[in-house]
Amino acid sequence: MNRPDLAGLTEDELRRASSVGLVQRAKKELADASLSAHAWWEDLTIIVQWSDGVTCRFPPGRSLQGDCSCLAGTLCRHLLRSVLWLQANPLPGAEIASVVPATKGRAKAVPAMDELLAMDRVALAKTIGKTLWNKGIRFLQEHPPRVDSAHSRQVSFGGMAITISFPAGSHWEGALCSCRGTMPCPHVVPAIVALRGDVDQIVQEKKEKEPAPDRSSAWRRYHAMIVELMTCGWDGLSMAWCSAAQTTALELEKQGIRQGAKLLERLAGQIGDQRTGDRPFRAELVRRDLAAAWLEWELASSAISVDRSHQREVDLDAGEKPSRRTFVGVGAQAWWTDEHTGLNLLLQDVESGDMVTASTARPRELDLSPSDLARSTILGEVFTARDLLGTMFHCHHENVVDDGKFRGVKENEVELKPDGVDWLMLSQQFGIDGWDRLADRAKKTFPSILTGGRPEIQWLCPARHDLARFDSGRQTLIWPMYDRQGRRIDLEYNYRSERADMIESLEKVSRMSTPMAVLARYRSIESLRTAEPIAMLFFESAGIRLWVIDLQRWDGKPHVRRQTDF
Amino acid sequence: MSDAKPISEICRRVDEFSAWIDASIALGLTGWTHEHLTLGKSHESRLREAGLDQLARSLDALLSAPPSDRTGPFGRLLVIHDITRERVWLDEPWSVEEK
Repeated sequence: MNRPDLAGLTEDELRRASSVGLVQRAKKELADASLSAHAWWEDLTIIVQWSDGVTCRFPPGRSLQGDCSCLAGTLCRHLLRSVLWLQANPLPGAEIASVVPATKGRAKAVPAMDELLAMDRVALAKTIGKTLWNKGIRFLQEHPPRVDSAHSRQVSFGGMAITISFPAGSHWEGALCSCRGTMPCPHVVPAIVALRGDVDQIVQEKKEKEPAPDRSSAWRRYHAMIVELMTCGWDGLSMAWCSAAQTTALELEKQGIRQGAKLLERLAGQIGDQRTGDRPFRAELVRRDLAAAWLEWELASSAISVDRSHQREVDLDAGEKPSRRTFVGVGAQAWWTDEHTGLNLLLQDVESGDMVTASTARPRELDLSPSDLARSTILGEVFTARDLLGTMFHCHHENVVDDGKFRGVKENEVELKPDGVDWLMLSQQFGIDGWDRLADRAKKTFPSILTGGRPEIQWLCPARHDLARFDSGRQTLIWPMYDRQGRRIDLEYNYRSERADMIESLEKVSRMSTPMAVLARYRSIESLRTAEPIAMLFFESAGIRLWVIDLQRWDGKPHVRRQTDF
Repeated sequence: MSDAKPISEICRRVDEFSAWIDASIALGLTGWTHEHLTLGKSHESRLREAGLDQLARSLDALLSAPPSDRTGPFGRLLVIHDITRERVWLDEPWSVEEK
């Protein structure tokens, strides 16, 4: 085949542009003796016609961005099998020019990649188009690209699990991007800029042009929210205060005022809980958050200065030498905002039992389901969420101590250990089998957020269970778990349409064996009789299996993937 | 100079004062009753008696302020009260979670 953009595609590139399963399926169909194809040129377009009635067209310069009669809209298995077939059955014909000729829909020729890389920047932006260029540069500022040293024209974006490559002979609209969006996708521009080596220069220029963010209006809104809370009191606040506070918190977050945003969000949550009666109200938490919120305001308005050295107790002996922690992924929860989707991975320190969270985000426009996220989202540029669940990994870090004071943590290495975790040992070591001990453990750890971690999440090891049933309002699935003394804890799982499939599974499971351990989150320290399940361990004939529950919260295809087995 | 009080007594007085602050937040700064203000005044003398002069001074500033100007003094009282209890969350309490 004399289309270098198609002939040069490796199987690895095809997998990245589509999926492992789709390539496998294409190969399987290709091996099917009953299926045959013939191909021909039509101007500069290759057309492949299959005996099953499918026709694929590969216009010049567009690489895999061909058209298929199946109307799948994205890269389908027919296009993949056509490429594989063309690679095995070279098509005689004229050489393809590197520049695509003008067609009736296009006013002028599309330059090849080599030309784009050599072009001056003004001409490049003009060629690409202002809208796409600006969108791409914005993306570039937030996600620094990295050129793959092993492949001359491949670029990846840190923390985004997105890799884009430009097959030899294709033009820029024929790029293969793992976002699988319509070409040209927003990642094309930053990738071209990275290949040209212009990233630092462009980011610097952009920074100089952009005015410093004006945070004063965000701080004013923050102050107004706090003053309203103080003035009206939580009994007299308007119903709209909680949602207004949450909106303001989002605004603060956007402006980089993270601490103020968190405090306002927490206050909104606590006041909201008091209104709805969802959780027992704790006045002292509101008092403390309000004090911290006011202090943030005073610090921001430079009215006072505070010696922060007393705020964190650090074991300086431990800080002087590097420390090593080993975690295991034990659960996951999906979250989303208007713009982003992501996962929180719950990780447990296998030595201390501390529960910590690793968070990841990607633009919502990619429209991935949490299951996709679990499989493909890269955390820390090293491993995927799926790698973390049920696998041990080591985090090597060093506390930075300067002049006898703790200054932060220097992250060094993360090493993924492919061996599975010893669930039995983990559940025996950190699981609680007597519910009377829950209060003690919670009291010791619950108020101490400064120690880090998520102490409200614990492993419970029940002795027996009852059937899971809905409450009278059919709003909450209640699954009672008993310890050896017959004390009861209700695992509560609220009904939402997205959770219907998981609820059905839980009801079925509750008719079978008692889980070996349940990872559960308490609603509050006062209410240790109820908890929300996150993950479960079950004995099975093949061993012990981790069953992640909350990942199913909004799985887009629950009937296709009924359980997520990690 | 106040007479020295045992630590347990100081803690008890701070705890009692915490309850008064909680009630203050619940009522809202413009909704304080005469009884609430009188109780605040008695807390002030008890705090001063326990040697917690800074806290007592900030309470005095609050009680002397007109209802419309209570926000600033009340905010500062909250902070001093929490620092007295060494429980203000100043530094990133969430940093461990978000690594």
